[in-house]
Amino acid sequence: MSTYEQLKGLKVKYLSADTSGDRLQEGELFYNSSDFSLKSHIAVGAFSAGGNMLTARRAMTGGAGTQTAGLIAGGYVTALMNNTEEYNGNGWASSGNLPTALYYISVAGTQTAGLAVGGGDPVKQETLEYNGSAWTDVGNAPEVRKMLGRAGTQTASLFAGGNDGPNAASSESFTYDGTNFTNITDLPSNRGAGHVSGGSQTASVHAGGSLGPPGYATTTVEWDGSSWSEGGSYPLPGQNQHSSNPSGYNQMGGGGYLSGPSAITNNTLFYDGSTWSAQANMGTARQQGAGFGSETAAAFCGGTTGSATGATEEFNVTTNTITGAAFASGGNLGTSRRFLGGAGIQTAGLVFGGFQTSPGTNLNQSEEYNGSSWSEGNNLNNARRGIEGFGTQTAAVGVGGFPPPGVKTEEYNGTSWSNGTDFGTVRMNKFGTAGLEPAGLIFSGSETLNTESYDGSSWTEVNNLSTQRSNSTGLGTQTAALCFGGQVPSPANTNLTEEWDGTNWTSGGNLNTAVYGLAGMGTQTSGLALGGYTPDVTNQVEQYNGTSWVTHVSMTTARGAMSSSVPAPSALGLVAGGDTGSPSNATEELTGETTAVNAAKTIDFD
Amino acid sequence: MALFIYGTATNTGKGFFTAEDRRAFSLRCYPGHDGSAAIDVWVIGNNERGAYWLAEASGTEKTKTEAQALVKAADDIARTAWDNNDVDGESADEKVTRLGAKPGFRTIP
Repeated sequence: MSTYEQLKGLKVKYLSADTSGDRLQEGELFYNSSDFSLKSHIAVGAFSAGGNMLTARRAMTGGAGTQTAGLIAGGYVTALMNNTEEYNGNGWASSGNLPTALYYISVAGTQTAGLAVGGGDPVKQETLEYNGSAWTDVGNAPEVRKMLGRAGTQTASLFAGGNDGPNAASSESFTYDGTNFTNITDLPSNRGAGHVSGGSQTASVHAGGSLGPPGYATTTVEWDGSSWSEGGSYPLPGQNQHSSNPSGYNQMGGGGYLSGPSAITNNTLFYDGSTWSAQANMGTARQQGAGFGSETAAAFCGGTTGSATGATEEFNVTTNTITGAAFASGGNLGTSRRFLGGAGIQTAGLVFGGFQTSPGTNLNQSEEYNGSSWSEGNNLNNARRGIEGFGTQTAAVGVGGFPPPGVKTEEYNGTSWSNGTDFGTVRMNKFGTAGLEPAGLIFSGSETLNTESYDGSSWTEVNNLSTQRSNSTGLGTQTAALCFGGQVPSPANTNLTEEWDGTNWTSGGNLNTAVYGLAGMGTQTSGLALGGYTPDVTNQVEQYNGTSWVTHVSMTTARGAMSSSVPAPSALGLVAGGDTGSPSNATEELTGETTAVNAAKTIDFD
Repeated sequence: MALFIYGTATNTGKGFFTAEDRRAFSLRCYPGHDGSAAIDVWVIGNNERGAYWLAEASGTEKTKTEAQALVKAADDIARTAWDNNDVDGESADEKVTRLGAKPGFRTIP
C-alpha cells in the first residue's frame, strides 16, 4: 500500500517570508513564496572573539571542559607559570594555582573535575586533579612526559605520545581511572610536540605531531578502548596545535606550527571520524595555545604568534553570525581632564568637573555628547574634581568631590546646574554612585562605609558597606547596585565587590584584578569594571554576571579616573577623559556583542 | 613576524578607529611626546588590516625603540611637572591628595 508521503511527497512549509525567531529550525526546508525559492537555514562554522585571558601565555598543551566552562593551566611567558584560568563563554577568571609552575602540562576533564599530567621543565611525571577551585597532587604518571595527547575525564582518561626527558617524541600511552595508571598499547608511531588529540578513554583521536625529530605525522589514529587503528590522512602536519576536547571521534583542531611552509598557521580542520575537512580560519595564527569544547562549540586561547598572546577565539557551528563586543573611538572632549564626573548614555552623554594638571586647576565645565561629538554645556556652580554623577543627560546629579567640603549636590536639567541639598558624609575622591534622578545612591569614598540614598530633594543615610574603601566605583540602580574595587585602606588596592539589594550590602564575586580609580557601567547582573590604576593605568575591562567577574574586551587607551555612562547598558557604554599619564580628551564607545541570523540559503536543484 | 606595528597618529575622534577595526586587529594607545608637542603613540596588531589602518589614519610608522622613546618623553614631562608642582607648606601626602600619585614609566609591548 502506498504511503501518504509516496502519494503526495514530502511536506514543506509554504511561507511568505523566511523562518525566523522561534520558528527557525536549522536544516528545515521551507518555501518562500515571496522570492519563489525553496530555502533552509544552514549552520556554518565561524570564529568570533572571546574575552582575553587574564595572563597572556604560550607553551600550553590541551585544555579541559566546554566552551562555556573551560579550564587551562600552566604555560610560559618569561618564566614557567602556575596560573589557572577558567572560561565561562564570555571571559576568563582566575582560579587556584598549580602546585608547581609548569609548561606543556596536558590538561583534560572538565572545569569542575580537571586533570593535568606531566609538563616541564625538567620533564615531570606530575599528576594533578582539579576540583573546580584547587589542584591536588595525586601521584605520578608512568613516565616523565610533556606535551602528551589527552582525552577523557578525571576518572577515565587516556594520555599518549608527548616528549620525554631528552625531548624526543614518544609513542607510549596509558590510561587513568582516577586512582591508577595502566599502560596500554603504544601508539603506532611517535607523536610528540603537541599533537591534535581528544575524545574519551574508549574513543579517542590523535593526529599530527612530531615523529622525532625529524618529521611530522601525516596520519590520524583512533583508539577504541582496546587497540589503535588508522584514521584519515591528516593534512596539516606540524606541532603545538590546538584541539577541542570532545567526547567522541569527531574532532576540531588547528593552528600550530606547520612543517610544510615552516610557519604558524590559522588553519583549522574538522574530523568526522574518517576525513579531515577545512573550516573557517582563526582570526589569529598561533601555536602553543590551548583548546577545549566540542567540535561544534570550541574555544582556542593563548599561544604565540611571535610573542605570547591572551587572545581567545570561539568556534561555533550555527545559523547565526556572532559579532564580538568592541570599543570604537568617539568624539574628543573639548577639555582634556581627569577625575571628572559623568552621566547619560552613548548617544546622550554628559561630563562635568574634573582636573587639569598644568596648571593644576579644578574645572567647572560640563560637556554634552550626542553620539558623535561633544559640545559645551553650562558650568557647574562649584569647580571640583573627584565629582561623581548619576542620571541622564537631561536629569543628572553631580555629587561630592574636591576641594572641601566634599558634600555638595548639584542637579542638571539639560540646560543648567542648580545647587541641591548637601549630603552627610564627606566624599572627595572617587566613590560609587548608582541610579537615575530622582532615585540615586552614593557609597564609599574617602575610606568610608557610609551609604546615602537620594529622593530628588534630600539624602537619607542607609545601611553601610561591609568594607571601608576609597577610590572605588559603582553601577546599577538605587535598589540593585554594585560597589567594587578601590583602596582599603588607602593605598592597598582591593578586588572586593559588594551587592546592594535596596536595603543591605552583601559580598559579591571578587574582581580578578585589584584596581582603584576605575569606572563602572551597566547593571548588577550585567556590569562592567573599566580601567583604573593597578597602580599603573590599565585598559583592562571585566564583566559581572551577578555572581562573578570575568575578562572582557579591553579599551584602546589605558586610563583611570575617567567618566563613564553609569546607568547605560554595556551595549551603549561610553567612557571619556581620565588619566592616561596626563589628562585625556579621548572618548571610547562600546558596542556590545551581537548575534544576527544568517540569511537562509536557497536550495538550487540545478 | 613581529606581533605589533608601531606608529604615531592624531586621534581625530569619532570614526578614527571603529569597532570593526578593534575586532580585526589589536590596538592600544599610549600618550607620547615628540619634544615639541603631545602625540598619540599606537601599538597595532601586525596584520594587513592593522597596517592599512595606520596608513588610513595618516600615521607615521615607528620602530619599537622610537615609539618607546616617545612614550618615555611624555612620562618624563609628566613626572617633571608633578615634581615641580609644589605648594608651600604642603606635605607629601597632601601633594598626592592634591595631584594624585607621581606618574610612573610605561613600557609598550
